[in-house]
Amino acid sequence: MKAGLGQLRRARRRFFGVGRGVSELFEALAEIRFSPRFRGVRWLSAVALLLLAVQLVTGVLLSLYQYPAPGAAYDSTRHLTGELATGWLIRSVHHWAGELLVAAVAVHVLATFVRRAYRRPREIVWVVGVLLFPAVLAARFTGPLLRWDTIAFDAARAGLDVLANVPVIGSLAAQWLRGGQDLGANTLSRFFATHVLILPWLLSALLALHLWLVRRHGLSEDEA
Amino acid sequence: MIVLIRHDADPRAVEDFLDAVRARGLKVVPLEDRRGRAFDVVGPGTDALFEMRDSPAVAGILARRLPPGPGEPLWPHGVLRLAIGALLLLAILVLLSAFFPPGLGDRADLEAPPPPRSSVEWYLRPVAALLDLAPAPFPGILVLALWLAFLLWPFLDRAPAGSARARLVVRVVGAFAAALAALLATGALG
Repeated sequence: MKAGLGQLRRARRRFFGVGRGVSELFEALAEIRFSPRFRGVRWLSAVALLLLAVQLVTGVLLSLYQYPAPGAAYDSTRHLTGELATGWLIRSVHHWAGELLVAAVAVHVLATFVRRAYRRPREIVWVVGVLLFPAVLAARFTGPLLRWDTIAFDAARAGLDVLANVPVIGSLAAQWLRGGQDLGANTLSRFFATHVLILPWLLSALLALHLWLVRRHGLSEDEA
Repeated sequence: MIVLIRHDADPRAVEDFLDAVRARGLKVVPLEDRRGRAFDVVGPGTDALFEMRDSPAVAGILARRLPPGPGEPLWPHGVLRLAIGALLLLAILVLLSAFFPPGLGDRADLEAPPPPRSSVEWYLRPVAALLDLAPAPFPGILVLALWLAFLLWPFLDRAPAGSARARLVVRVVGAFAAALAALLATGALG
């Protein structure tokens, strides 16, 4: 039996061609414990992480067909939705993952607050997490206008008006996103650049920092 | 190398000790479920820890690993759970996408009149409703102040762990904020 297992192990190593690397990876994974504190609403953090991954993958696929110019943006969305196989599905999954991501992050932040999981030494974990929330909202806000239809156009215009009424951060962001006196080609370029280039990197950086800090400090004790 | 912390150690002394350990290029991993009372120290040159055992924070140093704490191993149990959860979530996403696909309106018209406030998407409605409460700029300042207070809350709440008063405050604030946001987002409060 032992000889059989040894042969199997050697065959696996030959198959992967990486010596002991794969075996060591599984051994190392078995050493890590899945914390018993990771239960209940804490699962929302994993849900949010997966939704963000879905957003990145579907977003890259959508960007292959989306044009950031007022005339072409609408046509490319129609082409993507009506003519490309599974194009409607990718767009739809991207939309729903975005909606659920906002809800998951909001509930995760609220649950962390109610559990007082922000206490020393996790203050910076909280600050980074709370900064992630407006970044997720910004990603959700800048996405729909890229299809350049009346629904998204009205929502963007009304949203920018709301943003402009929040002093300093809001008004500056609204001014920058609008790219002029009113919505137009510049606005679409700004929304596209923010949604496709700036926010994915910003979100990834903040998320990496958040996860690193969580790993460093461990999960907090439950106060709820 | 496992470092055991004295049960009556001053938290600042513990932090100073851990900072000194990290300054030697060693990695400090808190052992979960030992309530900050034991740390796994890994990296080259852990023997240097024995020179630091006179620290007022240290109860003892063990040269071998403690038995694993409670909880399932990440492989295969945890990975299996995560995989099942991920598949469920993906199934929900595909079902929502198939039955409720997002619409596509007419081509945007740059000359169209400004839209009503109700065109704001659901996640911005609580802020939009707060902004409508009073003439500018006061509601905007209020929104910014609320957000900053929320961001810096850990530095405002310095009550010790398990404080019944602090727990009551966060529960009341959390429930109020959640209810208000839900009512405003759904338009129940106009």
